[in-house]
Amino acid sequence: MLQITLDQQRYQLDLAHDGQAGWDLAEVYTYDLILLNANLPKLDGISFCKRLRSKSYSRVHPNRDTPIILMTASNTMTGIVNKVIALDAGADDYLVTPVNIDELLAMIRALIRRNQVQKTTLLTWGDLCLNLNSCEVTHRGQLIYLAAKEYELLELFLRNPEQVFSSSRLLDRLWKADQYPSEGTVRTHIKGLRQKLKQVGVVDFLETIYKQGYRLKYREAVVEDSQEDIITSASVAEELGDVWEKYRHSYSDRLLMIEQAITALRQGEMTQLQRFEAEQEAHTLIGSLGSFGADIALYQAKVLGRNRIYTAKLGEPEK
Amino acid sequence: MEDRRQLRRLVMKTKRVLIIDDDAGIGKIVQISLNMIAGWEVLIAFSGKEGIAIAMDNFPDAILLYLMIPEMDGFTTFEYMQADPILQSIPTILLTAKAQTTEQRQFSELAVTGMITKPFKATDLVKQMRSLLNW
Repeated sequence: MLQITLDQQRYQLDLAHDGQAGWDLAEVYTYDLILLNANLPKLDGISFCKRLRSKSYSRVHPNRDTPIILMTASNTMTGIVNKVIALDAGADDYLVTPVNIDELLAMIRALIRRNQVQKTTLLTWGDLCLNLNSCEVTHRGQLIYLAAKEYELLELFLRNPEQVFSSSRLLDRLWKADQYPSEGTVRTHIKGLRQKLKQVGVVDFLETIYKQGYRLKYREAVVEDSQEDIITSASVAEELGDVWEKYRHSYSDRLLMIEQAITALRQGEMTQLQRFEAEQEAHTLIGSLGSFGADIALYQAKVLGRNRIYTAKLGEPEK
Repeated sequence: MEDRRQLRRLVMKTKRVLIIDDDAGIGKIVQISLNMIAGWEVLIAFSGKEGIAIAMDNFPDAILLYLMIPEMDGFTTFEYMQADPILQSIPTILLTAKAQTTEQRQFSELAVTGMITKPFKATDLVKQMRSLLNW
């Protein structure tokens, strides 16, 4: 349940079912936050915290500054004394299970935000870079001149990549209480920001979510576009060739059925329903064969129906 | 080991797509193209029932659903998923054959994320899905 909720909130999760497995992961990956159950097999939560925060490990550990929320069942640790034990062990906050999801999410956001503020001086999205110290925005080293509100918008989106901001929420966040601009003003600034970034080659960094607002687009799409360029369609076609060899017999059987349908149709032995079903089958077959790229016609099946001819070709996949 | 793989998938932001189609060849085409081009993990189900069971166990990021599947057809499968509080949030793309215009109209009135018509070009499938899913 917790996994689904956090997944829906677009957090990337690593799950470990015991303390030692969690420790192994934490030694490899740097996390923004660790959600830790106190009662874990192999390595309990308190010991995990103590070990992570101990000087002998922390100097080189990738998660030495990662905030930790310690969760514990209500009957295992009670009262302020145990909260003190958890915090003294190195946890940054403490929750009693069953957790209130909203409270947990708020706690996660707060701790991640706090941690980011402490350590971040650069916010990046692909090659786009916002320097919080110098207040400069660059793309591949090229300086981009933004108006103050455009800069603030960009900073807000970069700081909160998973969040959707409506125009009214942006007004609340970026304008003072005594200022009363319209939502149209927000749209104007968004448009200006998009145009300036587009001029330097940053396209579609922001997505508009219908009736909800704006959100920073996943960087993944950008990364994978370049991967797509590298992987040629030829290598995919080669793989499909092997698949084709494996499945072509099943398509031959289906073509045979269509041939029988054609014969029945010509002999007037076909009901409307049978003809309809044969047409549907032919279309399905065309869809399948076409998706293989079947192009060299070794075999053709034709189903006559309602003044139209449907043709399915069975041949070698296109290389 | 499965947990470890799942962790890697989440860490790498890899998408997981479920294809529900009784045509095993189509399932393999989708698997190969999405996996090779985009690195997405692809789960294959051959019927509506199996698709629902796999979706419940794995909670994919998107579902490709073919209309003419055995036992429980695509329409019924989609309705079932829409009635489930967890599955209803998974974006679903309809796979159709060109002839199925009536069904296409029927689905266009529902909350499907989009439609892809067979035959599709294997090397374009990732782009089509990205466009529909805004990925």
